[in-house]
Amino acid sequence: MLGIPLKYNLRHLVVRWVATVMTALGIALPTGVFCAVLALNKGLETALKQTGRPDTVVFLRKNALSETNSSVSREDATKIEALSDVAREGDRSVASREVIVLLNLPRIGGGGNSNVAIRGTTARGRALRPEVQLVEGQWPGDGLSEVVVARGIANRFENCQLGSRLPLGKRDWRVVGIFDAGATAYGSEIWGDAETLAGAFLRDAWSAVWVKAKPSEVKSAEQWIAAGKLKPSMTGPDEPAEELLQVKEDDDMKSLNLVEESLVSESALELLKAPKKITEIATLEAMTEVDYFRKQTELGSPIAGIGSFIALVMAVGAAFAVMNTMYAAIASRSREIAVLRAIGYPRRAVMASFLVESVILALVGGLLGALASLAVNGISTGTTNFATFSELTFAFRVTPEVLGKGCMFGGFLGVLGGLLPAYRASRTPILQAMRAI
Amino acid sequence: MNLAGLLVRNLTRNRRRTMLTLLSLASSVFLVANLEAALIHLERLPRRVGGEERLIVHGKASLRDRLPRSYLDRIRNVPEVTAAVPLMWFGGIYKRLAPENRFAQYGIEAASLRAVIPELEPIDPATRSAAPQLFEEFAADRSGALAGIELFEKFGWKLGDRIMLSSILYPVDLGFTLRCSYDAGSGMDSRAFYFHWEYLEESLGNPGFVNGVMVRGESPQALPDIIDRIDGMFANSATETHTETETALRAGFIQMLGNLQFLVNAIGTAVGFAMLMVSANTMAMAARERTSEIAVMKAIGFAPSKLLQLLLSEAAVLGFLGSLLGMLCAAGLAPLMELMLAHTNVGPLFAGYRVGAEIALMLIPAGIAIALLAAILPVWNVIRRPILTAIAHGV
Repeated sequence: MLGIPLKYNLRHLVVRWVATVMTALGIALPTGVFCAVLALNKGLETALKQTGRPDTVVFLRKNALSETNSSVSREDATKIEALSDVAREGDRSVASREVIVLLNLPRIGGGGNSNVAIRGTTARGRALRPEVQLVEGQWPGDGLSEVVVARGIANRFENCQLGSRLPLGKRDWRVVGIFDAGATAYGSEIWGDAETLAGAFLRDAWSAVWVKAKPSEVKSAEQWIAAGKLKPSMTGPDEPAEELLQVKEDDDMKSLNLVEESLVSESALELLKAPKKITEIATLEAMTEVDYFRKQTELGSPIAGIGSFIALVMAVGAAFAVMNTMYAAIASRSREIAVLRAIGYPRRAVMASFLVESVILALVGGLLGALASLAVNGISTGTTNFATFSELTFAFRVTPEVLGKGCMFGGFLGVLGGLLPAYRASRTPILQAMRAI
Repeated sequence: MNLAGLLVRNLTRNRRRTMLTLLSLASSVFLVANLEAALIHLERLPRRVGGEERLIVHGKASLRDRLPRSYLDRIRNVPEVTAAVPLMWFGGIYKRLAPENRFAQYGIEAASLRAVIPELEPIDPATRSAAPQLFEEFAADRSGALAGIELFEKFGWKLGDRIMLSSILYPVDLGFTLRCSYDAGSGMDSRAFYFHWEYLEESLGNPGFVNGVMVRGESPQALPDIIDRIDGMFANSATETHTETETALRAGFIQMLGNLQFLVNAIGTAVGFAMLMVSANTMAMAARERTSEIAVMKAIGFAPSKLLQLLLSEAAVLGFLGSLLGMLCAAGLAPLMELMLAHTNVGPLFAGYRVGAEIALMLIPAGIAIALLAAILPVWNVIRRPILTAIAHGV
């Protein structure tokens, strides 16, 4: 079957250019907002989901959910470092005992205060996170009241620039360096020396102990189950979150929280089972670095959900506008449609033709909107991560995927708005329409 | 036929177009109304909790700091302080970790609680009548709990029920017995869960700290002096304090969400432009259709100003009806929105969320203005066309 030539639709769109432009812009705006929301999600996701390596394991207090809530006694920290699955360099374990404190800091240029996480870490801790690169100045000296600040925080908070003094605990800390942590969650932190910070804040316990597992094979949790290394357990209604796979190790009832698709190395898997070896009643919990940050997305920011709601409501409004334009287009062309039908084009062809016209119109709008959203690409902003109760800096990321989804969103609006008018066009009564002026 | 009659006829001549335009405008107004209402709700939230007379003392670095227990007695001796109650955060998970199960929990001292928060009226959750004796029961039971009436309703609790909470802040799971409820009145916070701080202290081995102290002053005027005295007293100590009104503390919480004002304004502008496009398109279609008709009207003596008035009123009516519809939807669906938001992290912030008349007063005129703005160009184009070309155009 021969369809109505596409040129017919294109020419009409050009002839009625005022209506075309208005409608396309009407679609471009919701598409732009939709893309911005996707870009925001992408940014948040990148910050939390792409942080971490499958062979780095963090030990926290059980149920603590995040380092800010956690505490690990000095005694337990020693036992963790002695575990046989921890990698060694010479005769020392590759482990970092760290402390996290929150500091309420004013944003630059008003906008109130927010909590920023300050991590007391060690040289080994820095080596565990190679994505964290010093871009200016130097690392804090051991035992000195010095800190380095992530670039995203330095740009957005007072007293965080190179050379400024950060009032923290009882003393002022000198900002001696700025670091870049790519798009990872570490890019929202301030780093200092672990012992010095613990002393300044009178902490008698660590917040967490980070270790590197011995080199070994890396597979996803799913593949480890397939390989018989893990057994999934039944997920009951009281499990913490649906996305988490409750993995049973061996035959006893202790379970590990692993995200199904995330990677974990074989010796890291052994470390995940280690907490009960350390204390009789397991008061500790181990997670891979990947899962630790991943889990925070579930508690993450509500901004993404609110953004989707906004895009949805705008889309509804735009779909009505498309309908309006298409009905008008069809009303003014009823004679042409009758002629098309008279020379033998079936109803299906008329319907398809108008639907295609509506989709082309919407795609133009969608493309415009998607391109407009590039304006927010790379803009960095922050929100509170509800899991750690501290600032999470992220950048809008308009990726090709986001642009593609935006165009699809526009096209979908075209289908939504074009369906009823196109059906109506296909039902045009031939004789009356030809007689009508 | 008078002008109004013509207006109605014009609007109803293409009912489908009028309806679609109205729906499109209404959905935009619905969105902006909700955004503005949310912003206003959040801005007022801190003040609504009766927090102007109370101060919160907490650690200088952040709310997570621990203050030595001795601070409590020292704060009580500060001049013009009438009462002070210790606060401990617990961060308890009820049933399972989910936003809808979240509520605030505070370890407090029963003896001083009501002196600091007098609007906290003990009631029997079953009858909702005042029940001071139940508060005594709560005070007497070490593992007793006092929970807001909204929590009783939400979770279907009854007095005497055992509630298990596992803390994310401390390595303990504690069981509590519900002994009393309270109603803090309309707009106040009746969703908090209070328990005895000694109970938590003991389970932790009496470490001897508090997270904060809530203070009541002799008068609101005395508060600035009290703030200076308290923070001055602990300045240069191992644990410095930061004292602020409850209002300021809550406002700070909301600021942590990010720059909401900017977000709402940016989206509002985008939506406003979308509305402009939609109405301009509709008016252009309407005006084009009537090119010859308007020429005829001009020919038979209608003054252009009269025609301008007619077409612009049509746009204004469209703008008004569309905004009204959007506002009505927003106001009507507000309880549903509250319910949907309850399942998110910010749920507790949006309790009592409504879209009020003040937003209608702002948005309906804005809707009309946008529709008028959109109509000016297409209408002008049609009216200034010479009669002959316009009539010829129609044939």
